[in-house]
Amino acid sequence: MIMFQKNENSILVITLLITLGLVTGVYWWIAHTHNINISSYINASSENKEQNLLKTNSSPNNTLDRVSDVPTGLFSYGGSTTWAPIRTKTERKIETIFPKYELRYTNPATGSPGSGVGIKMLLNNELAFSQSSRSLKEKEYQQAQRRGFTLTEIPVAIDGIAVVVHPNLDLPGLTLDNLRNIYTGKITNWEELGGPNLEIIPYSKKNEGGTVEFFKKNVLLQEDFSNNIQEIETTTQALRNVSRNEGSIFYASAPEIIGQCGVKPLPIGRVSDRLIPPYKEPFVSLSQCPQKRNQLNLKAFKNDEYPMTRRLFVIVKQNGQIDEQAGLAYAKLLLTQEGQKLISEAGFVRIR
Amino acid sequence: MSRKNETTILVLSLLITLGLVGSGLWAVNRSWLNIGKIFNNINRENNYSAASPNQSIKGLTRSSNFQSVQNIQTGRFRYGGSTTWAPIRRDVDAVIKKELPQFQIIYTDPIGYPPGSGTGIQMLLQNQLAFSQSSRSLKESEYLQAQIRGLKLKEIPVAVDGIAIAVNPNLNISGLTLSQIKDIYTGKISNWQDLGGPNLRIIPYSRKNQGGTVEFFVNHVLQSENFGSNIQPINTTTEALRKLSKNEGGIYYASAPEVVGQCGVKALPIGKTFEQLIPPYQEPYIPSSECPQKRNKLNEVAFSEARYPITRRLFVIVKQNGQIDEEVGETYARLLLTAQGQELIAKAGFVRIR
Repeated sequence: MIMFQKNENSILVITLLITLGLVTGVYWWIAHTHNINISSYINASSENKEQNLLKTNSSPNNTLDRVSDVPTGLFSYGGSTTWAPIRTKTERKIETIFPKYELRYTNPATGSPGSGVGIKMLLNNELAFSQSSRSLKEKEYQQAQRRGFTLTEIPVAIDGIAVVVHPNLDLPGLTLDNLRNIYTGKITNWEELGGPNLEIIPYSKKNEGGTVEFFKKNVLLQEDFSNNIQEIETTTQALRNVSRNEGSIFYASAPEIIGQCGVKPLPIGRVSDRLIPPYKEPFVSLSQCPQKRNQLNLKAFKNDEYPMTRRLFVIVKQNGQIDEQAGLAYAKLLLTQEGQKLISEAGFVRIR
Repeated sequence: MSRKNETTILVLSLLITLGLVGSGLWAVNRSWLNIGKIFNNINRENNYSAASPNQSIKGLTRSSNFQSVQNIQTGRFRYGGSTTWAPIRRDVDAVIKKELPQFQIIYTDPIGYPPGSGTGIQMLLQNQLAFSQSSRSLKESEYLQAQIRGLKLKEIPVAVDGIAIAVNPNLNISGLTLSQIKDIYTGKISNWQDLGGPNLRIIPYSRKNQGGTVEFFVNHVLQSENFGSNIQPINTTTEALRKLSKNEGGIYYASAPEVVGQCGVKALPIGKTFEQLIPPYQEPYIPSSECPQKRNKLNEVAFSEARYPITRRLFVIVKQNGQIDEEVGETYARLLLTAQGQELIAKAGFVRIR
């Protein structure tokens, strides 16, 4: 009996061992033969995650602090002056939530900042990522290629370009053709446009700006600026000049100039019988400013009724380094619901 | 007894073993199948609009209406391009916007240039649009521009369109052959008398070159020869139709849905040879005098069977850059290819392809 018991036990143990052995063997065999597929699938999906985060929809309660893969370090970024209101609105917020993700807006060593200069600094590896109010040029893509990396544009907002004149100038608005004729020098007196007999003084920022390049390409249709253009360094300086000189005109990103007290924004149209104001109607007379200010006509920017709008981009350097991660993280932050809300508070049209 | 006991234990343990192995296999298999399924999905996702075999797979499983399309992106997406597409924007896009409010697509005009397939593609390359609509296929130069930018452009056909030739309602002519149209637009024939019509100078109108229809016409009807110097350039089809209704010698070509139902002009039968003239409208022809109470309807059968000699596909141009823009373009094409989308496309005057 004892013998039997022992025998029984050993048989039990052996069968159990065999069972386990068989199960593991089969499992191992299956896992082994399909392992490569399974793990490569998993790897691929985690690699794509970075990219996919730009694809997938942000859920409605998506906040800044929900963003993953925000790298640690001090990151220099730079570029577009159009982006100034976005920087003001978002920088502090991002800093508070991600204290180890330090962002440092960096001006060029010489010359004035702008989209073009930002891209140049990015190409020279002086920046981790840059902000742009125009898309990349073929030349810039090629420069990146020579340096062994690619540049990607990630759209995060829509902006309108506004045109302002001296508050006393009495004019219902301008068409795109009028604007082109003014800035290429074909029209030099307001009288030709139904205004007073007054010489037109067209101001423009210098050529490095994304807004200037966008204006030249899309409004002047690549024609050159006439030589009567008054070149100025900054929007602030331009606004000061426009508020002093009766015949002057200037264009810039709408959020920078619509609420200003010293200048008057003009309605713009593709045709003269459909002029669309860049401000919410009714127009707030400048005498009430700064107690009351004109608000942006975001609805007209949004539905493309207003004829001069464009996308704003984060330019990411795809070099497989931490700079790339920093740029992607920045774009992801701006594309959260909270980021988009801040963008719209800054005066731009949200796109998510 | 003990023998018996042993055997029972042996049998039992064998059964347990088999059971365990079986369930183990089953469990592994199950999860593996799932993975396989994911794989298939991924492959299908990646290929479905690239190759035709997958197209048919997709065709079988495609959603019937807008509401049942999965994975709709949320956001504000700008698109643009072809003026030929205007009836689709009016009759199809408007319904999409209403039924899928989270998918806010906004038609965006170029700023200084006239809208059209070509300017739409440029705006897409400049990243001002998420996707674009085109009445012609992409050019090699555009593929190159995309390549420089590190992205690919893809055409997804969603409908077939005919190009109609229109003249003044009073012009007495039974139809034109393709080579006659070519001779008119290259300037070799300049009087209707040479074509069996009245002694009247021909005034050939054409839109300017940004249009996909113009480029298609130059490539396929003029066989890449240049327009004659007698061509009257105009900006829009509306403007051309107005001119045509006033000038007896005028002739114009445009996307058929924009032209055939108009009261002020007459669409002409067209043929490869004079014996095979096919009208772009359903017979019998409704004369201008009865318009607008009754209007001519498109000869969809002749377009879809390609008996009518000038037809082409309409494309959604998708930017393959791995960002949401790409998904939005794919979604838009998927919506148009649903049964509901195709029905609305047919209502807008184009030939459905599904």
